[in-house]
Amino acid sequence: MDRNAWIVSLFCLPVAMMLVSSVHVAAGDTQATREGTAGSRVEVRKDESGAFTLIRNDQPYVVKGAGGLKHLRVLNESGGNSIRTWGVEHLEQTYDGKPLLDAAHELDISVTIGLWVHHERHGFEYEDPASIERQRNQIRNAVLKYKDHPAVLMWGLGNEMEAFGPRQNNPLVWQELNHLAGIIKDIDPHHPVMTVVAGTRQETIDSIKQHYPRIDILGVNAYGGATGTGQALLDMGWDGPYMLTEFGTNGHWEVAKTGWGAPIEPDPSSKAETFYSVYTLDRDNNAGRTLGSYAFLWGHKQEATATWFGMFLSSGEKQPAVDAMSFAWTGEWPANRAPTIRSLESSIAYKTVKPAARAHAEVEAADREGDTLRYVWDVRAESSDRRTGGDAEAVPPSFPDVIRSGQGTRRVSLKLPRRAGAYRVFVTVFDGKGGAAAHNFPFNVEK
Amino acid sequence: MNKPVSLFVITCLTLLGCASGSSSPAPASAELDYGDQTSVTLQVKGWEALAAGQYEHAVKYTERCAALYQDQAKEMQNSLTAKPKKDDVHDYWALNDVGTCYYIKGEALMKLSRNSDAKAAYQTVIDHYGYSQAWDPKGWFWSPADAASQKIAIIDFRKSGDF
Repeated sequence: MDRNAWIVSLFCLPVAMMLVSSVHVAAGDTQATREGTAGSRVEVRKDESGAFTLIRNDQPYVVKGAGGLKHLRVLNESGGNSIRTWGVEHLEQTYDGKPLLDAAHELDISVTIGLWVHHERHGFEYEDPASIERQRNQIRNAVLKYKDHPAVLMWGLGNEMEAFGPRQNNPLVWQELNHLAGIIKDIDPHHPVMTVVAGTRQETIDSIKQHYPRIDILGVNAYGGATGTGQALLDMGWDGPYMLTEFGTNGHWEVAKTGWGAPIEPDPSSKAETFYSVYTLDRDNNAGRTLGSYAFLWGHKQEATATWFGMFLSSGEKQPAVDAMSFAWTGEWPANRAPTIRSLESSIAYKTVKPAARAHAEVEAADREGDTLRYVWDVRAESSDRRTGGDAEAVPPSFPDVIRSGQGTRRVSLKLPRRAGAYRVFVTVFDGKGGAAAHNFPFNVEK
Repeated sequence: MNKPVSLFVITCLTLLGCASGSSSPAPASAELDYGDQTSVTLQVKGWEALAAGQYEHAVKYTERCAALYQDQAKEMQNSLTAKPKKDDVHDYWALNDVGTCYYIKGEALMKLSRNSDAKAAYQTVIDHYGYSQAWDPKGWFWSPADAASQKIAIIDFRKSGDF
């Protein structure tokens, strides 16, 4: 063996041993704890003036985030730097064929790992020792599994578990969160623990201060009143660090409704304005207290409608809200903007009409780059599977026969259903280059 | 889109100001019915005009509200160091109604594409009536000053983004 061969051997042997070790660990644990991989170190620092800063690997880190698991490349290109998940099962998903955490890390995207804490409204009993122990083990195992991955930013311990249930602000829930935070900190002292609550309520803040001293960061999901979150928290006595962990389009519970109770969805441009204004006001008015924010939802979901909260369509196109966040995060607009909808008009919009009546609907849309626009119309029943707290809802049925002519164009003729009930007309405008805008109006067929 | 009723009118036909002022109002303008000219009446008329697309009327109703009650409103604002708690909100009727009226005025001026005037109205809410609150019949109070801040940000965003 010549000299060079020895040198190669000396260097390669330890590396080979590390690789063997890594493979051994990875065999049962595809993406998480791997020996030789340096985990991230994250902490919240408070300076002499009382200002809080998130420090990640010794550098100040402002979260420019979005809630969701997909479209990571678009997030990176838009200037975003973090995603938030809700449960560890989400980490089993892949992106571009890679485990989610690995894919995020490659794109320099950090992850607030959601650790689902069970809700009483789903039947979990905080008086049952066996259930409590099972949940503690789940949390313990999840932290052990993922704590050393370099993409980890913090632990998102629970989401809105204090709200919507039969006993809101149950002290047992807060006390258990405090216990769980202790478990996490014992295993992983290098990542803060954040717990996410629904909006700002005095009783919530009081409960946290009384029962949950181990919390590092308060996460707040807020929509209609999101711009006032920082001040509201101060007024309620929370002077610790916080983050807006969901913000965006005003909730379907916050907007005007038709006479038959159908919430009126904001148009895509108004949604974009809301995303931008909430983000910038929270950032600018709460320096030293907010550590950043997560826009909701970097993806799509059925909640009231298929388009209410999603910043993307189910087919993958981005909507104007994505461009607005790109501008908010970077100060620059993306090269290709999503189209905008200037108006959606119909004589039946927001009205109760006769069965089988005939009508038209017309959309006016524009595209800054002059892309050729394609129009897709859809008529669906109003959602009847309405849940609380963002729980999964069924997609209502479509009635393609209602559209008699004009599909694909900006004006369609409709023959309304014979069956009485509440419906919506949806239109989606595509630019053919990854951008889209979707809007809708409800109508009601009388008996 | 021609929505049947403005979002804010539906959500914000406020129940505040029920104990509205009893000072002697000036005679009403000939072209508009100012009703009894209590602050809550003027505020509700402002919302209604906004919803009906009568933006100039909305501006007039809200300006009348401000002219009649802004002194009391400012006095109430200056007596506070934080937003009143839920049980005390109604004690600050002039503050709530005048703050809300400036917000409505901003909304109407935005509809009229008078964005710099709208910004001035919104800024007035922030600068002088920051502790005003309005009741949403769905069950919560909202802050005209927070909403005004958001509208100013939106006006600036529109300029930069061509939405």
